[in-house]
Amino acid sequence: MKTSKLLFLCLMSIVLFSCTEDEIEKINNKDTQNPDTNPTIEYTNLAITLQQPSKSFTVESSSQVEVIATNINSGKKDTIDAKAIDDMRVEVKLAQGFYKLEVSGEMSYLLDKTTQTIQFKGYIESTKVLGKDMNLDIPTYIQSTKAGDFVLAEIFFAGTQTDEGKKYRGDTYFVIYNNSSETKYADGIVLMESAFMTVSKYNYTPDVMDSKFTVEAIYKIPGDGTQYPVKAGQSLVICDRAIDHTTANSHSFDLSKADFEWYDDSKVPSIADIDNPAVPNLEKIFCYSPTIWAPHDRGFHSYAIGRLPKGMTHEEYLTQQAYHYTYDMVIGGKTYPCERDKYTFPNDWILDAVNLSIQAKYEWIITSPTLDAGWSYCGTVDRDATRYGKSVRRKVIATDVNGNKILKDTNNSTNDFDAEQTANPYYFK
Amino acid sequence: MRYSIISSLMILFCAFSLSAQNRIFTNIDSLNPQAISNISKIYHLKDQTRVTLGHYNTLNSTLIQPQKGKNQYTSGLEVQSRYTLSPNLRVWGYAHYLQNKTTEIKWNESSDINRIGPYAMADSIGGTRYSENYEFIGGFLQTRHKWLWGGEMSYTAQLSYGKIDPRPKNSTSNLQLETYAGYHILPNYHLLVKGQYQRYKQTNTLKYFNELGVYPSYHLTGIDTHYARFKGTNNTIYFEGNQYGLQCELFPQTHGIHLLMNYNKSYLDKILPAHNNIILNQLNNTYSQVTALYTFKLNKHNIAPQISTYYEKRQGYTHLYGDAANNEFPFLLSNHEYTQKCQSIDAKIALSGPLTSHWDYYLIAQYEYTHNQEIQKASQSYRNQKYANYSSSASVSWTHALWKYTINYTWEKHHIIDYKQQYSPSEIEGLLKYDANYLSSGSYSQNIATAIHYKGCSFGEFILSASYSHIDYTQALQKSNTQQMNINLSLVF
Repeated sequence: MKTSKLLFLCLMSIVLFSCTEDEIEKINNKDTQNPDTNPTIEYTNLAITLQQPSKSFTVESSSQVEVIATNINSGKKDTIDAKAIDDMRVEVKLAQGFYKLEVSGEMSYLLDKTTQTIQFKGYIESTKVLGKDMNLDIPTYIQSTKAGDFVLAEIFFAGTQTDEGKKYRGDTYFVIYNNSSETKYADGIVLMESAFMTVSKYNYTPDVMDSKFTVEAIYKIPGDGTQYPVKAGQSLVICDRAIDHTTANSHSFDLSKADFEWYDDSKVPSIADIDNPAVPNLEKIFCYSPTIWAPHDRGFHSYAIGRLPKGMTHEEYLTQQAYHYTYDMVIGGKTYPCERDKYTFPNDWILDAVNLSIQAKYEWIITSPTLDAGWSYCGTVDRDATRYGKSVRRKVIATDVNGNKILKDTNNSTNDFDAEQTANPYYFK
Repeated sequence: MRYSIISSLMILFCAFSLSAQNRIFTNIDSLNPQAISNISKIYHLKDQTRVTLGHYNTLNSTLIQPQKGKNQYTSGLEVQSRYTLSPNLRVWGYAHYLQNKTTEIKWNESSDINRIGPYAMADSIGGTRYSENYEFIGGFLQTRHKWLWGGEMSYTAQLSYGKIDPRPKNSTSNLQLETYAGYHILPNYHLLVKGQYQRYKQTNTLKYFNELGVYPSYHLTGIDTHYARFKGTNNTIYFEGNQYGLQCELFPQTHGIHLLMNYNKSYLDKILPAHNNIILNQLNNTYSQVTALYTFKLNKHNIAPQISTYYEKRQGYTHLYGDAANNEFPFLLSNHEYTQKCQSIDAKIALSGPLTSHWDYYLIAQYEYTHNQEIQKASQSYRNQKYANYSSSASVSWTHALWKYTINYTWEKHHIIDYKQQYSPSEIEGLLKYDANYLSSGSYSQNIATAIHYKGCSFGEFILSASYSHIDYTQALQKSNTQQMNINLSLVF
């Protein structure tokens, strides 16, 4: 028994005196430096080579290069002043992961023995950043210097909610705005919905997105070319059903004063459209829907406005821009080859494009970054209950001498638009 | 008679692993301060079947831990039985069915938060959760010459759900297998080795019936952070994990030194079925414990000083994925982003013996030091929170030897020191910190419990037991309290 007591006392002493409070603190401090027990993040030195933005001249140097790195998994967005390696290479340090990278800055080139400076942007939708050191080429483009024209000023796609807490549709609209300093004609402007979606990324073959916008619905403003003048700073409201919706839903709008409506001659009698003869209809060139069309109520597509080349008929367009594409859909580990037939619209014909998505499901932008390198939203998750009655609206950056609003148009709708605004079809009137 | 009760209390104090962690309705007539467990001690317990009906309430004046809810109401039935099949073979079984209601759960739509935390699925709405819980245990123990061996299997299942949006529907299951082997190594000592395996699964879905839409779901990753890429409507997740354990125990035949070493390692994956079963997070848990107990007799008093220490480390990994083309998420790398470390040391002394000719006493005094630290490190942020907690408690019971009436009083005080938090602004507006909110400057609790035995029929006796605890604490400079009430009626035969 004595041996047992002695042994027990020894054990107690060992445990008590070998692990005092100070000792535990020391263990903690030691643990703080111990990579085996504490969280560790590996970093990569990323060397970025800026590709030439144009074949017509050779850029000699870059300066003030800023990198916006968005970690796609964590959602963290960091703006980093890049360290120059040489004229066209910069370096940033990033935690290993999967990123969307945007670069911007200035480039200099010689033209007629004179040094010219331009603003450039570059964009990579998604790239892995792995290893201790990594090299990456980023395509760049010159920031648009195009004179002002029509832009999409507001898009209302979410619909409204009734007093009874039900969904209300038919009151969606687009506002296009003359962002130039002169009168422009709206005749012939087409309104399009993209065939691809920002929430589902596939490897489409052939990949045409660098040069063309994919189309699944296209409607055109009628007119002979001079029928619908729009003064500088004026706007047009193009809506689904041009009626006074407030009689049925107090949370909606009076769209009977809209400038145009799109009307669909539905093949299904139970799903019929309403036509207001007092408001001109858009001409339907093509729509995938056999019934009625409305923009996606969560905005999973891109919307664009553009002009067909002078004299091109609807038939010629549909013949020349037919787009047959294939892709693989993988579900539960099984691959299902798919093919579709839609249309394209060359980027050069486009006046403005806006990508829409939601943060929870966003996967990629479905326009060339030269058209829109960002995206806007109403709601952050699929079927977000807070999205009703909200629109995306372009920011006003200034007012000109005539009192006209100048809207922001940097071809990046993340920066150009205010998301989740209280919808008002006559905000720009 | 008196000494048989005292010795049975001591045995229960040291033993009864069968119900030590599983019993829901704690009865003070079988005091169990979760000391050393030793399956072989079941041999000292007589054959018995016990059926208990119970109700348990926990009422908080303020919401302390949002992820665990505010008030809890539990009712149920449990049955346990021990039986001697032959002189060398004993078997036992246990089963319970419980219904539980927990109010105001917030930032947690998963079940078993202590096990799967911090990787819960969460939203900002929360609500009341209902659950049904089933557990079944069966075991046996056999001796032959100097050897003893046995095994125990337990299966726990839980279904929990909400009745208004957001509506979680979670089903969990846990299968546990244990095997024992022991040998009589010294004249007075046995060595027992126990191996343990657990298989855990949880399916966690969240539904909205509101036609207008939904609210975002978050996949939390520790200390106020979440996995941004899968935020939204990824409302079905699946947890799957295994646990392995080894325990060595040296214990005396009667009085003497009792040593226990316990080591457990577990792995848990959080899986997203909607995206080809990708693993979002992995949680590795390591637990080690050493306990030394010495029991001896001084005059007519049984004395048992005990010292115990444990160290628990939980390491969380976030798996990152590349370009999700063609609906597939290629695995990119795994980041060790989260660690929780907890160390504790406690000293305890238990005394029991006769107080007067009719009253026996049972006394436990305990002092514990715990240090807890959590670290979350992501690409551009570092979050750290830690605290140390001193707690002292004393518990005293008196049992009337003939009437078998027991009254118990427990006093406990917690004192938090060295509380530090270091982290960036909240990633999710309104997300309340899981552990930080729990922290208060300290708490002071009192518990009073009583049990009455009544031999009302020829084949057994009824035991009515009740307890009430009142815990006062200060949290964010506001005084709050928790009340716990428990009432049970058992039939023992």
